[in-house]
Amino acid sequence: MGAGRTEVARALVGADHKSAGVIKIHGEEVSISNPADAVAAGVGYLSEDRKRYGLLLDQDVSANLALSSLGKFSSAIGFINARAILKAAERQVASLRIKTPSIRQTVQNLSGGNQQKVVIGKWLTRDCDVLIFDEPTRGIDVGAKEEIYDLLEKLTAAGKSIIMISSELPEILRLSNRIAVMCEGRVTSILTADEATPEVVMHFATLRQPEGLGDVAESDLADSERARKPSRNAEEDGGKR
Amino acid sequence: MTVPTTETEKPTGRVLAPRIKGRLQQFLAFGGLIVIFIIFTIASPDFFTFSNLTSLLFSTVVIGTLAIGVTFVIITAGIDLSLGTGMSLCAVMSGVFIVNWHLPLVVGVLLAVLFGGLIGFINGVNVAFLKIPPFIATLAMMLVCAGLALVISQSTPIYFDKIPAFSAISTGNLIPGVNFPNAVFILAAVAIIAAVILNKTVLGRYTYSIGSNEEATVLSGINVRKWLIVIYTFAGLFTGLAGVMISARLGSAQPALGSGYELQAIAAVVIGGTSLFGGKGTIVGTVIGALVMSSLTNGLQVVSVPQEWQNVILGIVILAAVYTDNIRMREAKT
Repeated sequence: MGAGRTEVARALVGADHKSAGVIKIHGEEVSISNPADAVAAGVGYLSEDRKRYGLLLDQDVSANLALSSLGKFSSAIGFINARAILKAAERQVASLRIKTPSIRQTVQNLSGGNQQKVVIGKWLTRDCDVLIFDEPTRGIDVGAKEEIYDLLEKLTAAGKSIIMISSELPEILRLSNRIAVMCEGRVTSILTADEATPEVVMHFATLRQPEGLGDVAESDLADSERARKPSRNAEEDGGKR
Repeated sequence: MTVPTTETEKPTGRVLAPRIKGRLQQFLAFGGLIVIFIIFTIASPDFFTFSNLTSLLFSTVVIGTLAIGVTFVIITAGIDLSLGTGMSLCAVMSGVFIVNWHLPLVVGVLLAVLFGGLIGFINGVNVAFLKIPPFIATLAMMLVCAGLALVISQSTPIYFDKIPAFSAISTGNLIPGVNFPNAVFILAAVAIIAAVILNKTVLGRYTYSIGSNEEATVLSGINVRKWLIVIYTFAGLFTGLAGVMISARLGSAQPALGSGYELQAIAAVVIGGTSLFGGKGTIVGTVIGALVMSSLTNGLQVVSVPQEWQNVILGIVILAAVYTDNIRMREAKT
């Protein structure tokens, strides 16, 4: 449904096939045909449906945090360095302030906000440069939302590039450097933070093609691309899907 | 557009509780095993004797080996129905390699084990790349193996009577003077190796994570298709080993023996607390499950329960085990 934002994100990380376009990271074209390629290129995707696409709900916090980085925590023949995993997990829990009684706690027992932090921690453990957040604050209470915003600010300050997909205009306008607005599968505009006002964003978010197929009555979905570094440039044709 | 739901902070005080809860089935199985032992010891003076316990352990070896292998597959939320006939085919192949081709014993045994790996590899490719559901892929493989075992052996057993060293793999006594078969030591070694691999290696970690949430594992950048093939291949090695063990024990490769073993092995795994929904399970549990199966069979024989009733009782035990698995899953979801 919608403007095709999640579709673009999934194509960027190779979860779905892209029909056209090239992906450039730091100005260099990369070939991403599956999520393993994306992760190897330093791109991590945080789905809006974190329970389905982000977490091992019945596994503990440390297992989730280490999931993308097992290569780093194991010997050449595949033996796990359990101590290193626990240490790294403790570090992430402390630095992200994940509220959990223990890194051995099963993730399904955590609150939505803390589950989201576990997913973020998974990608930070992997040391991804580019993080794609799909609706990062959906299903999270107000206090935890602020924490997630702070975290996003900190990550960009630390040099990470973040692409945030959001339908919430206030958080888009507050956090973004650049905003790509999408409507019905097309990027209708790429705005800088200065140009973006609620009216302008809404205008482009509802800018349907006049001769458009007209079968989908989608409207007020605004899309935001937030990239700290202009060198990060992902050009993608979302297409009609 | 839906209104975002909010989740409030849940108090999470207990740390140990979830770990114990996750192993509940394993404790239940162990308790069940003790109850079975007590009942049969009271029911018959012939049950709790060294010779009967030895034969009980001996009869656990083949089921135990198969069950340990399929534990990996079941933790990925898969299933392998080709275990039993695959084992027969590997048994036949050990006969072909060692008796017909006169290969050195070690080479022949190794090739037979690797042949099990090949069966697992094909299962893995069918599941991971051709996206055939594991149930169907391995059901088909079950038929293929059953047929091939008969074709290759021309429906006659292959006897190892000229190679006594082969039978000694299973029936020889490592401790001189004590009538305790090597096969039991082999099962113990296999269990320890499997437990180490499941707990301490990348393969083990991915086995759990694929079973827990395959899509999330894919999106975490793990090549799940590759790892599924690795896991099925690895599990297949145990089928090959079971084929060697059963023909070493019988002194012959029987081409039509294996069917039905897959269900007993899967039952042992489930009794041992491995969830058919994936993501959960231990080797210790599987070994306990295999012991439950074999001590029930053994004890019912000792107290002279007819074969037909033995099957009925085994069936009920399996139902009970799967039922508790379901209850656990329902509890976990709420």
